[in-house]
Amino acid sequence: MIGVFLCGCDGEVSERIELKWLGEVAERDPDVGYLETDEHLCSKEAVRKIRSIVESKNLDRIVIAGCSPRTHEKIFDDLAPIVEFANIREQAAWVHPEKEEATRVAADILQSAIVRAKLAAELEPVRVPIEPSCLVIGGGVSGMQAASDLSAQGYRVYLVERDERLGGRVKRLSMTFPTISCGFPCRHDCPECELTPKEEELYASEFVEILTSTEVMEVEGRIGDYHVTLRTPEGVREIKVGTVVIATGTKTYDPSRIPEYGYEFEDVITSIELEDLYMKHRFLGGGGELRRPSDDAIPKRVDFIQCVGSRGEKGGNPYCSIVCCLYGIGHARAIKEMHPACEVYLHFTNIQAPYRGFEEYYKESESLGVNFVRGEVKLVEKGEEGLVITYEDVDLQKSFEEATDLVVLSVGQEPSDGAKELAELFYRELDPDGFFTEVNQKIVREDATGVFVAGCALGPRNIRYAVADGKIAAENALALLKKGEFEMEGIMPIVDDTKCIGCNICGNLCYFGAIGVTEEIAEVVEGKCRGCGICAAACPEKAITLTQFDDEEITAQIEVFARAGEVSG
Amino acid sequence: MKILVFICGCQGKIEEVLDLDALSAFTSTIEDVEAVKIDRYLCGKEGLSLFKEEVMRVKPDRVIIAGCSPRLHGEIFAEALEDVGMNPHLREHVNIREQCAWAHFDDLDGANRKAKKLMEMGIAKVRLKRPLDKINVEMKPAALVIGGGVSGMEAALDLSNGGFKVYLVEREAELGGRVKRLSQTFPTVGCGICCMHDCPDCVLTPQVEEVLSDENIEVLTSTTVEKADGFIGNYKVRLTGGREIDVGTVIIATGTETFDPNRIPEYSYSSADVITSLELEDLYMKARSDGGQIKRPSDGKIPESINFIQCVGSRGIKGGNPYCSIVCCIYALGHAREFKSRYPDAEVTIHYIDLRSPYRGFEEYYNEARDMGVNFVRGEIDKIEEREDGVYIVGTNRDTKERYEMKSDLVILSVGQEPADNTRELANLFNLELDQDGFFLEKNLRLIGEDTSGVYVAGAANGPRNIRYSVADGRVMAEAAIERIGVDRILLEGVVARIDQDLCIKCATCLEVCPYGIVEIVREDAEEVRLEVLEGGCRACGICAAECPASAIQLEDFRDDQILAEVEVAI
Repeated sequence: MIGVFLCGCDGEVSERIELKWLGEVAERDPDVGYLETDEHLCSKEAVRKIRSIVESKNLDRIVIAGCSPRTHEKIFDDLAPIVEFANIREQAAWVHPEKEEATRVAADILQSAIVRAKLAAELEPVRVPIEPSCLVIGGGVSGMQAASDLSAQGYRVYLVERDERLGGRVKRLSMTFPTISCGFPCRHDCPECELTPKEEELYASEFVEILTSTEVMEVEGRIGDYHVTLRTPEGVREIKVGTVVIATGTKTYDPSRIPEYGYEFEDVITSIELEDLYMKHRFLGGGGELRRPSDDAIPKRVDFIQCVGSRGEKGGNPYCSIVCCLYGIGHARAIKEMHPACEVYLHFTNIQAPYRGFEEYYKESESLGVNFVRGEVKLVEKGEEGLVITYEDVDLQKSFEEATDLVVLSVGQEPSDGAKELAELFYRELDPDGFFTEVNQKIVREDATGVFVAGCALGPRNIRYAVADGKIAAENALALLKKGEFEMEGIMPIVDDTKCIGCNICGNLCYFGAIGVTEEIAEVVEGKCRGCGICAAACPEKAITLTQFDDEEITAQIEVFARAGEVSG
Repeated sequence: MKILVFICGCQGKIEEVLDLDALSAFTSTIEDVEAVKIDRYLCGKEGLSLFKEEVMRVKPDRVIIAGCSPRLHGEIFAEALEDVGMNPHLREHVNIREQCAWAHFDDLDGANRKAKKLMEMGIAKVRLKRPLDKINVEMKPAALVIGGGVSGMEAALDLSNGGFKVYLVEREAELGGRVKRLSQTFPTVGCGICCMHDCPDCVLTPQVEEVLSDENIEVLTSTTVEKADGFIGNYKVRLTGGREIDVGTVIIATGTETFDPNRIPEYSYSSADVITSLELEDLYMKARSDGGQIKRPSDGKIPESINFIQCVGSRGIKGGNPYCSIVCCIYALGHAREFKSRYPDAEVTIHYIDLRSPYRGFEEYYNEARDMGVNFVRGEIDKIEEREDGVYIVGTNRDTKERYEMKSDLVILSVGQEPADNTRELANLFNLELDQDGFFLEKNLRLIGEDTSGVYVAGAANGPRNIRYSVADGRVMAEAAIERIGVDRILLEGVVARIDQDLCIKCATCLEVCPYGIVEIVREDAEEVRLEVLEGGCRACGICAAECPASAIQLEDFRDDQILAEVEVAI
C-alpha cells in the first residue's frame, strides 16, 4: 500500500497549488491507502509522524510531494522501504505562475511518482569496504595538514611529493603576512616556524610514509579501493588506499612569456627569486641585506611589477592570482626596512588583498616610503647605464622612463604541471582556468569517489585557507574511513548475459571505467559505477538495464503524462 | 642522581654554529651527569628510537634535551619518555638553537659560551624537578554554539555528527544570520540548480532544515548567553530565561553588524532614496517573490539612475572603521549586475576606491559587469545632498582629480561590517582577546590544536570574510572541538598552581587576580574556609603564584626553588 504525503512548504507550495484537489487526485488511485498533508514535512515532528504512520498503517511505499529531492532526500529516504519524490515545488509551484496550471502540472508529477512507486523494486544497497588508508598527493601546507589530521586518527597515510622535500611553495618564502606568524617574538614571520614542526611531526609519525621525489603514474579502482602506481626513486611501486586527497598546489607564471618585462636580464627577477635572495642573506650574510644578482651591489632603486601573468595583463592568465599584492607589499616593506635609502616603487593596477590586518599593513608601507604607482609598465630594457623602466602613472596622467637597479616581477599562479593528468586519472573536472573544480559541499553531499581536493589545486588562495582546506579534506576522508564501508543506493546497470553480444560499446562509453567486456560479456565493477545510465541507453541489444530506471518504470511514467495530455488536450 | 643529556645538531642548524663536542665535554664535567649523547637529528624517527633506547639503558633520574625550543618539539620528547615509563616532567629542554645558534650566529664564542651557561642552568633546574601526575578532566560531550548563521550552523551539524549534544543559540527569532537577508551571492556558492538566481536560500534552507531536523541539536532562537563559568570540558552556561546548560565546549560564531551610515552625516542617509545595500537586498527579495519591480522608497518610481557608494564605514573613509570590510566590492558588483540586467537602459555606476575581491571567478564576474554596461568610477564621494529636484552625489575622481556631480534616482551605500554588538561581553565571559578592531583575535590554526580553553571562534566574528570561508571556519572549529573534547576525558599536563594550606593567609588575592576565575572559596565548616584551585581549569599562567603575599602558591615546574637554582647558576 502506498502512502502519499503532501507538503505545503510553509506556503511556498500551498499558496500556489490547490493541495486539496491534488490529494483527491492521489486518492483516486486504488493503491494509495493513506494521504496526509502538512505545511512543514521536513520538520522533526512531521518526520516522526511519517515514521509512526508508516509503521501503524504498514505502508511499504511512500511518495513525498514537495521540494526537490536534492534538497531533503536524506531526511526522508529511510522512512519506508521504497520512497519516491514528486517535485511539485521547483517543477510546478515555482515555475507556473497560474495556480490552475501549476496544480495540473503538480498532479501529473504526483501521479507519475505514484506509478513509479508501484513498480519500484526494493534496492539492495551496494556496500563497498573502505581500505583504512589515504594517499595524499602534494606535500605543501595543505597536504601536510591533511596527512597530519589523518594520521592523528590512526590511519595509514602515504604522502607523495614530487620534489625532494616537503613544504611546497611556502617552504621557499622568506616571510608571510603577519596573521599567521608563529608567535615567537623574532619578527621574521618566516614560514619555517610553521612548516618545520609540521614536517618533523610527519616524519616522526609511525602512520605516515613520506615518499618524496615520487609521482603518481596510474590509478585503478574505486572508492575505498584504489590501486595507485607510483614512480619512486627506488622504482615503480603499487599502493592500495581507500581515499585520496589531491593537494598539488600551483606553479608560478613564467615571465619569459612576456618579453616586454625583460626577464632575460640578470637584474630582472621573479618574486620567488627575490625570496631566495633574502633567504640566502638571512642565513649566510648575517641577514638584513639585499644584494642584486649581477654585481652583488645593494640596489638604490627597486621596481615591483604587479599582475605579471594575471588579470589578463599583457596576455597573461585572465584571473587574479590573489596572493601577489600581499607578498609584493611585504617585499617592498622588507626592502625599505633593510635599506631606508633605497627607492622602492610598486606598479599596480588595483591593490587586492582583503585580509584581516591588511589595510594597516598597506598603510604602514606607504608611511615607510614605498611609492605606489597606479599604471601600466610598458617596457623594461637594458640601456647603457643599466636597466630602464618605462611606465605610466595614472594619477599623474604621465609616462616616465627611468633608470632602476632591480626589477621584481610579482608573478601569478597557474595550475601545476600534471593537474590535467591527475584530473583524468581520478575523473575530476577542471574549471576554465585549469584548476580543479570546487564542489559545493552543501549540494553534493554524498561523495562517491573518496577523492578530495584541497588548497591551491582548487585555485590560488592564501596560506591560512589552504591549511583549512587540508583540514576539511582530511575530515571528509576520515568520515569515510571511520565508517569502514561506503553504501550506495544501488542504482547500477545489470547486464542480461543472454542478450549481451560482447560489443563493448558500454565499455568504450563509460566515463568511469565501471563497465566493459572482460571476457565474453560486459561486467560491472561495483563501487565504480555512478549510475549515469549511458551504458543502458547505448546498448544496441537492450541487454543493460539501470535499476530504478528500467524501461518499464520510465514507460509507465511517460504513459501517465501522455494520458494527462489526452485529457487536457 | 643520574642525569642523561642529549644534544641535538638539528641537521646542521645547530652543529654548524656551536661546537657540540666542546659542549658535550663541558657537560660531562657537571655533577650528576651520567652520560651525554650527541645526535644530528634527535626528533627524527631514528633519533627518537635512539633517545628511548638510551633512556632505557641508562635509567636516568633526569633527562636534558639540548636542541630547539620546547615549544616546537617538547611534546614529542614528553611522549617518548612516557613510552619508556618515565615521568615526562623529569626532563628539561635547553634551547641552544633559537637562543644560541640562531640569535648569535655572528658571535661564535658568545654563542658557545651561552650554550654552556644554559646547559648549567637547565641541569640546576632539572635536579629539582618532581614527577607530576596528569590531571584527569572529564569531558562533557555537549557543545554550545553561539550564533545561528552559516558558520554556527555548519559547526552545529558537524558537532552533532561527531556525537555531541548541541545547543544552538541564536539571538534573532530565526536561524540564517546575515546570509538569510541576501538576495543573491557570488556565483561560486550558487546552489548548482540551473535557476541562475544564485540565491543563498538554496544553500541556506537545506542547512536550516537539516539543523532543525537533527535530533542532537536543540535550537534556541531569541536567546542569548548571560553567564558562563567553568573550564575546558566543563562549562556551565546560563541563557536568557534562566536556563542553565552544561557543555564541554563553546563555539562562538556571532558574525558581524553592518555599519550604521547615520554616523556619516554627509551621506544623507536620512533621505528616503539613500539606502543601504541590505535595504536593497530587501527590495530585490520582494521583487523576486511578487514578480514586481524595484521601486525607490520616496515615490515608488523605478529608478533610471542608480549609484553605489563603496567603502561606507570602511578603510578609514569619512571617519569609518580603519579596515576593509572585505565583502562589499563583491556584493555591490552583484547588485549592480542585477539592476542592469533587470533594467538595461538604467545608468548604473559604482564609485570605488579600489576594487578588491580576489576570489575564484571574480575577475570574470567584474569584466562581465563592465560588458553589461555598469560604469565604474574611481572616486571618493564627498557628500550626498538632497536638493529640490532630487538627490545628488558630489565626489572627486581619483584618477583625474576632478570634482564631479551626478543626479541619482537612488543611492546605495555599500556598508561595511563591524563586530557584533555583544562581542566584548562574550569575550569577557569566555576570557577571549579582541583585536584592535574589536573582533575576536584570530588564533593561529596550530595554536588551536594546543588549546586548553575549549572555546573556539568561527566565521566573521574573527573579522569579515566571505561565505565560503565562514562555512569552512565553522567546520574547522567544530573539528578542533571534537578532537579536543570528543574523548570522554582528557589528560592535562600537571602544570598547575598549588596552594599550600599551611602558608595561606586567606587574603584571597589569588581569587581576585586569576584571569580565568578558577580559584574558589571552599567552606569546610562554620569557621574553616580555604582557597582552592579548580583542577582542570588552571592554565598555568602563574599570576597567582607571583602575587601571593605569603608565597603560599607554587606553580609546578616553575617553583621558586627551581627558578632560583637556575638564576644562581646564571649569575
